[in-house]
Order: sequence, then structure tokens, then C-alpha cells
Amino acid sequence: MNLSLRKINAIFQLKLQSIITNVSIMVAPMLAVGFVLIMKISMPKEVMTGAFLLGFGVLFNAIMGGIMTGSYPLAEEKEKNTLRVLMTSSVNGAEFIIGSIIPSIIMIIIVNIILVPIAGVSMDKINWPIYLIYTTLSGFISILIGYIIGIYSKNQMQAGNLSMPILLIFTMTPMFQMINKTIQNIASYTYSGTIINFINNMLTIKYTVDFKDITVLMTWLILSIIVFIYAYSKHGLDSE
Amino acid sequence: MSLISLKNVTKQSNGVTDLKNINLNIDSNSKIGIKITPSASKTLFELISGNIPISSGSIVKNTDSIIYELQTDGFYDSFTVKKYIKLFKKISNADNKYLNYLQEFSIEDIWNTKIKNLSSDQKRRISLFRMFISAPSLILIESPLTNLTDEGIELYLKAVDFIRNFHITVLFTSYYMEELLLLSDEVYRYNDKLGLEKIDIAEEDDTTNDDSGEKFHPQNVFKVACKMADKTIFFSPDEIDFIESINSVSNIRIGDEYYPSSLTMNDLEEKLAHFGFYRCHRSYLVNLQRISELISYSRNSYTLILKGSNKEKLPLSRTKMEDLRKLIES
Repeated sequence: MNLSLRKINAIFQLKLQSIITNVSIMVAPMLAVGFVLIMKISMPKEVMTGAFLLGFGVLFNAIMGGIMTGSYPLAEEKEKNTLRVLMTSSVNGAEFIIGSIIPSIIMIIIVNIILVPIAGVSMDKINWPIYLIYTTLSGFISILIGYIIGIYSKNQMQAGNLSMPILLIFTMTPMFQMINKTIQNIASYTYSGTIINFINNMLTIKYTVDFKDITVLMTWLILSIIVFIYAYSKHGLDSE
Repeated sequence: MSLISLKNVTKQSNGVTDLKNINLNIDSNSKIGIKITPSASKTLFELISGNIPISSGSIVKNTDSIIYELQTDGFYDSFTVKKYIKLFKKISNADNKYLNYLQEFSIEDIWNTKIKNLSSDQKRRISLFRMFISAPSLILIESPLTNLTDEGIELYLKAVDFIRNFHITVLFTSYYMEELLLLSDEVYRYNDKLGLEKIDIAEEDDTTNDDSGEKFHPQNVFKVACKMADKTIFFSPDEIDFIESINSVSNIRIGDEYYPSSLTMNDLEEKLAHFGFYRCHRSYLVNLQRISELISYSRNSYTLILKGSNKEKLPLSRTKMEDLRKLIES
């Protein structure tokens, strides 16, 4: 399969614009920033620690935002029959996917950085390389999950219905962790749980790179890539 | 030069036959039109462009630069025309010279307008321009004139002629014959049992194939005989909706059914003229009692709509318009 940088660039610009102008996608990063800001201002400092706020914001942005930027635009292109027009204009599936993942990733990274000062965490407390790698990886996993949902849905409504339970499970991970030890243990094997634990540990005790965290993230990454490739090769992007 | 040729191509999916027995040769600069349903048209386009494999038969392709448009294709509504065209210009790496041709497509005045504010006339021309700038050798288009206004049709036809001057071959499909007659010279009809059949637009020869066996018959009693397998069916003229010439065979159309007749169109015209039939087009003989509407889609063409649930549409040549008017009014 030939990849053309020119076409990827064209898709990149197209997607950048469609993400920014699509309110239902932008709601995730805006909620992430907005909620963190509101909670920081309105709640007592003892409850709303920097770790809690940052973890909350990253979950909203990387997990919810990632799944939404993956599924909604793809479903919208299918619903409005514009994906077909691109495909008949010699854009292939890989070019389309690469061109559309890049703007989503960039947006997730930028918001993850902005969240640090907004959550009131001082810049030097963050282990930047690991923070960026972990949060970007989880964003990437979410985008892939979003694409899998997008492949299986015909329109935006269906994409919304399919992504809602998955969104809830992953963004609510910290709340589930509070229920009991067993669930906390299970949650630590989800990629969202890993991110939360990492942020908590980084800001409370010193974080050292943990073998389990890396294994969990990598397993999720590989799994989502495999499922994505399976769905893509079986149905293509524009299945009917 | 032949761009694409399809031989006995059949496509089945999930046990259903989508297309059967397609024999078609697309020469460069040919003006082919195919009367076909929208779903079959989509399958045909995908087969020709190589997006889906064929089930049987063979396709010989001498070009890969094929682009197609379906009637349901969408636009990025929030984009302006300029931005939309620039996107596709970038994708197809098109030359800047194409931007000088905006006027030929009558889209210069809407260059900075958002697509969601445009009429379907204008959208159709933008879509045509988008395909044109990628400089393909073959463009396949489904039903471009459906739902357009008279002016829209005129401007679209002008743009299609312009594209054809660049040696780009354009093939149209539509469910409506009159659309195809405006857009193409060579018209085929797809029949899901027989495959593609050429419709005779050219005048057929005056063959002397008269039924001399019937030496005498009372005036004003005439039945059209159609031989089906081993029996001959007789139809009264008043039962017939219209007669269509397909592959040089006159087909009697009654409701949804076709019955081939051994008589030529000219014979039938002569015999049925007394019963109120009129040759509205070289390939059509219509029962005037069945006409319900006359519509003009553009300055040069008229369409007759017949009574009945399927509202069959027949083309009416411009030159015949006056004759018909006289016939009906007298």
C-alpha cells in the first residue's frame, strides 16, 4: 500500500478543522479543563488534591476525548457519504487513518500539558517524559478503540450509543477503585487505572518506572491494534 | 481506443445477483448512458473502478485513472467551495491551471460561499469540477440531473461538454431515460434477466417485414401479436401503454411487462396511428390516451409522463412537439 505524504497532509488539515468545529467532540477536552477548573475553585483543598484533579482531567481528555475523536468523525464521514468521495479520489484507508489520528493525538497532548497548571500542580513535580509517554499512549489506545467503534457504526448516533458504555467504564475507573480491594485490583489492569495510579504515585510518593504499568499499557496497546486491524481488514472503513 | 471492456461480467454478493451478464465496451470519448437502478449502478461503478472483485466474466482495463460519483455522495457542508476544491486539488495534486476554468462550470460567483448554502444545481457542478481537476481518463456519474432545475440542467450539460473537450470520457447512469438522452449518444438499458441491451436511438432501416399472411381484416380491428415461447398473445391497442424499440426489436409495454413483437416500429406506427398512437421519439411509440403530463426539463427536450402507478416517462423530440400539440388539440 503506497502512502502519499501529500494526501496525508490534506487529510490532516481536513480533520483538524472538522475536529475543532465539531462541538460534540470538543466537549471532551473542554469538559476536562472546565471541570478541573471548577472543582479546584469550588471544592475544599483537602479533598481536591492536585493528584485527584490532574488524574480526573487526564481521564476526561485522553480516554473520553480519544474515543470520541476516533469514533465520531469516522461515523460522521460515513453518515454523510463523504468518506466514499475521499476513497474514490484515490485516498486509501491507511492515509485516511494516519491523517486523522495525528490531529487527535496533538490535541490530546496539548490539553494534557495545559491540565498540569490548571490542576494547580507545580511544573517541576511532574516527571515529564513518563507523563507525556503514558498519557499519549493511553490517548492513542483510546483513539484506536474509537476507530473500532467507528468501523462498526453507520452514523454518529450509533457511534454515540456504542461508545457510551466503554467511555463510562474507563472514565469511572477511579470511582470503581473506591468500592473494594478486588475491584481496585482489577481496575489496576485497565489502562485508565494505570494512568490514575501513575499520577497519584508521581505526585504523592516518588514514582519509579514500574514493570507492571508498562506491561499493562503495552498489552492494551497491542490488543487494540490487533482488534483494530481485524475490524479494518474485515469491514474496511466504509462498511455497509 | 477502448478504455474498459467488460465481458459477461456477473456480480453476486450474499447469494443475491447484483449484476448479471454485463457486456460493455467503453471507448475513449464515447458518450455512453445506462438505464439502471441506483443499487446496480453503485455495483457497476465499483466493479469498473476495481474496488470490488467480479464473480465471473472478465474486465480488461486500459486505464486506472477512473473516478466515480454516486447520487448520494456528500459534501463537507461547513467548507466554502474554495476550501473544498483546494482540499481535493491537494489530494489529486492538480495543476493550478484548472482554477482558470471556474467560469465554464458556473461556480466562480459562489467560490467563497459555504457549501451548505448552495442549491443542488450548484453542488452538482462543484462535484463535477472536483472530479475534473483530478484529470481522470474516465468519469462515471450516477443521475446528475435528478432534482435539478431547468437552468441547472442547462449549465450542467454545458460543463459536461467542456469536460469532454479535454478527452475525458464520461459515462452516465440513471433510472430515467430522458436524463440519459440529454447526456449521452449511446444508451443501454440494464435488464436483470438479460443484462445490458442497447436502445436504438438511431433510425432503424425500413425493413419490409409486413404480415402478408393476413390478407384482409375489417377496418379498425387490429390486434398486436406477440409470440412468447410457443404461444401467440394478442393485445388490443387500447391495452398498450407504449412500444419501445430495444436492440431493433419492438417491445410492447403493458403495465410492468414487456412483450416483444415481430413487427418493426415503422409498421407498428403505421398500423397503430389510427388508434391514437404517436411516434414521440425514434425509439418510442406512445398511446396518446395514456398521456397524463408533459414536462420540459430543458429548452431542447420534453418528457411525456404516462398514467398509471409507475408514471412511466418517455422522451419527446423537440421537432415532434408541434405535431403532437396539433394531434391532441384537433
